[in-house]
Amino acid sequence: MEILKEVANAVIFGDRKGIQELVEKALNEGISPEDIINKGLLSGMSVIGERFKKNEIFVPEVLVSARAMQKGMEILKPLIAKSLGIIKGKIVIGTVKGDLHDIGKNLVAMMLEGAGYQIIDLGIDVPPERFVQAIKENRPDVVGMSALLTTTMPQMKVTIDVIEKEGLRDKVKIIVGGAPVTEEFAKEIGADGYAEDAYSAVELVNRLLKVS
Amino acid sequence: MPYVRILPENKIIKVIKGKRLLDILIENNIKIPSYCGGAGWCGKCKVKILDKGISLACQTYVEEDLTIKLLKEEGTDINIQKDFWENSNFILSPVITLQAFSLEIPSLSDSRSDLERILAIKENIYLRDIFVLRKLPIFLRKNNYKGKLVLFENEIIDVREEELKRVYGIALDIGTTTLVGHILDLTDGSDIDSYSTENPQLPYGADIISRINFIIHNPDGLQILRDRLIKTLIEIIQNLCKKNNINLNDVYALSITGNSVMTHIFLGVTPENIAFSPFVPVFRNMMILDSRDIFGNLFNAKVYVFPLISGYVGGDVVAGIIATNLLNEKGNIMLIDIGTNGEIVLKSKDALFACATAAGPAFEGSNISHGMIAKNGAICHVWLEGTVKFEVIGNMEEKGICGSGLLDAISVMLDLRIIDLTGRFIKGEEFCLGRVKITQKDVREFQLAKSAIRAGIEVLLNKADITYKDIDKIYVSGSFGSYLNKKNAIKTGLLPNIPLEKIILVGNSAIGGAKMILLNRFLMKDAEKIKEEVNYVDLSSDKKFQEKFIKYMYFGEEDQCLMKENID
Repeated sequence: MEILKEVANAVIFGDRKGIQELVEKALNEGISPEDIINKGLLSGMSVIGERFKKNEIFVPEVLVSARAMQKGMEILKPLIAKSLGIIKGKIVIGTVKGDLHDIGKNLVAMMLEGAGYQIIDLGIDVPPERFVQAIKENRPDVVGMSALLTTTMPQMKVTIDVIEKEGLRDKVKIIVGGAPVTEEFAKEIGADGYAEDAYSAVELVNRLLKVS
Repeated sequence: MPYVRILPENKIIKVIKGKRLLDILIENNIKIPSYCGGAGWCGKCKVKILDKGISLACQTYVEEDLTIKLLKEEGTDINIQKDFWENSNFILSPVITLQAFSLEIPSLSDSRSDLERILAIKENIYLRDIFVLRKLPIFLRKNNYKGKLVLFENEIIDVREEELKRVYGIALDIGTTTLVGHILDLTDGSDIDSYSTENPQLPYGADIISRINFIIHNPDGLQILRDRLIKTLIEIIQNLCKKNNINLNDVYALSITGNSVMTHIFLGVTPENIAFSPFVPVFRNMMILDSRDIFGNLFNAKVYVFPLISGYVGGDVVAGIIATNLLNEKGNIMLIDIGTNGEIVLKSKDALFACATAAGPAFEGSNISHGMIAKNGAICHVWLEGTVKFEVIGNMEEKGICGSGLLDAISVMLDLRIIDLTGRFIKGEEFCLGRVKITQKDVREFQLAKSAIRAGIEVLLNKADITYKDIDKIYVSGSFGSYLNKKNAIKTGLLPNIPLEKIILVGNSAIGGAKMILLNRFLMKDAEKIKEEVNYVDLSSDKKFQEKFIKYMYFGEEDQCLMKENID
């Protein structure tokens, strides 16, 4: 399966133009969209995740790779939906109220999407009520919140409290992340999980939903 | 209750069991740096606990008697380069003027009141200060109806003896990291002396966000931060007077400049809403206050507080625009102030744009393993001359590295291919300058900071519909700006690739503007105009900024940018 390796490499090098051709070539060779995703796109992305963790690469490479992966996904997603409709789970994600940062949140969304989850991205500056509304409308498995400022971190607790008050807390797993957020903070505010980076976020969601 | 013994002072403090060591030290006025505000990640509040070793004060809770040793930090001798605008000629018309008078002595045929007599001295003058009114009858009779009026514009703020020749003003720059004061002779415009010291709020966090956090989470937070600030400002004022044999009573004007958060705290107004979108300050107007309302009865002066442009572009930037004469200069001119925040102003045609980048405190030393501000012991320059050479401020053993040193070091690391253009170490895992080490994480912090500033520059150029090639001049200010190596700023991509002579280092432009306004009262109108006319560009909600922030994270000029086509 030389072609899958090429797809993975295109992700690793962030070759957004080349990836389109490679994915189509793989499809023509009769490889299933699931295999192209798992053994091509995602295997490339996991190499990037590992390298980022080891400090070998930096945010731009991860972003460029994630975008290449997304380009590949764009072609493959309609095909999966048609063939099997497998979605590992639904995730509502957003940056909390008062906070406008979205690079990190987008990265997490892209990685999760790449890992086979359906993403409902609420964007930035999302008040608790919007999270609640999105939970009611979409019935997600996981709610992900991001904050980059120490001043907006407390909004995560506020949001969890509102979700609780609406009687929705036991319907979703809540995960949090962002530069100033820590494992202890996540525990303290009653979140179900914390991930240090985008790559770990995928592992965390997999673990929480017991999928692999 | 356990005791904490603090060495080398040998101070003993009785404390409540379980209390955090950092809080104990701060409450007892023991100098300890803590840039992250006690969150546990900056590592600056290290103390040595006897029999136990090094520990972070913010992570230590006192359960039993402890003896701790403070690790030595340098004192308050921060170097700030000489200001460049001292050479520029401008008209002296100080905010305070003296008006000599010799009044008719009252008689039965002229029994006008004391005040009427005074108000007849000059057209349009008025008196509002009840203390001056109370002083008036005694003063006039004791001095034989001769003396001098001290005027702030048309307001009589004091009556003084005939012999009074000189009056003084003090310009104060309230930086997040550093406080600077200059004392000026308002009669001849001379800059007599300056004094600077660390902002005493530093133990509560290196950046404005951690200060605001402290205010939000502590009921007395604002009061604590304000009290510390005012106390240190008084020390600066007293110190400047004492050192120069100036009577505090002869100081009649203060000008105060600072970022929006510092200005709020100075006035005792909560800055908390600046931290959240939509980032609303409580006020933007300039203020003219009575010093007694702020500093107590220590002296009697008018306090001018610079107006603010937005929650993140404050009076320090307004002062900087005044100091660099941006309003009147022709062409496309930028002012970049690199401090704990990086503010950028662009004047193009007749429009002014400004933005603030969260450059983070990397250029001021925090978040960097051996980072420190530009003061004695800091490596401020690094270069190649056969081997790696470096210069330390104060000509002493290296204790850390400041922003300009870090910029140079990274540039040298690029030359020696110790790191590649993506910022990754390809040779070894750290770069040593004597005892000072630069790690992979430090390089990354630098990349984030420089890229934030560069992306801000590009966004403003976009707004004005020009490119970096159209820039006629870039003024770089801030203490980082005093030591900056222009070539390296371009090499690392912090500044766009323009001819070096177009980049002008101006030192602390905020204090420059604060000084100028004391010496030329008409500049207050310019400050108002700047407040009204500057278009504030919010970067946090700007999509282009985020794209550019990623794009400029690597080194090298943009034309060589590795990922250019993939990022656009």
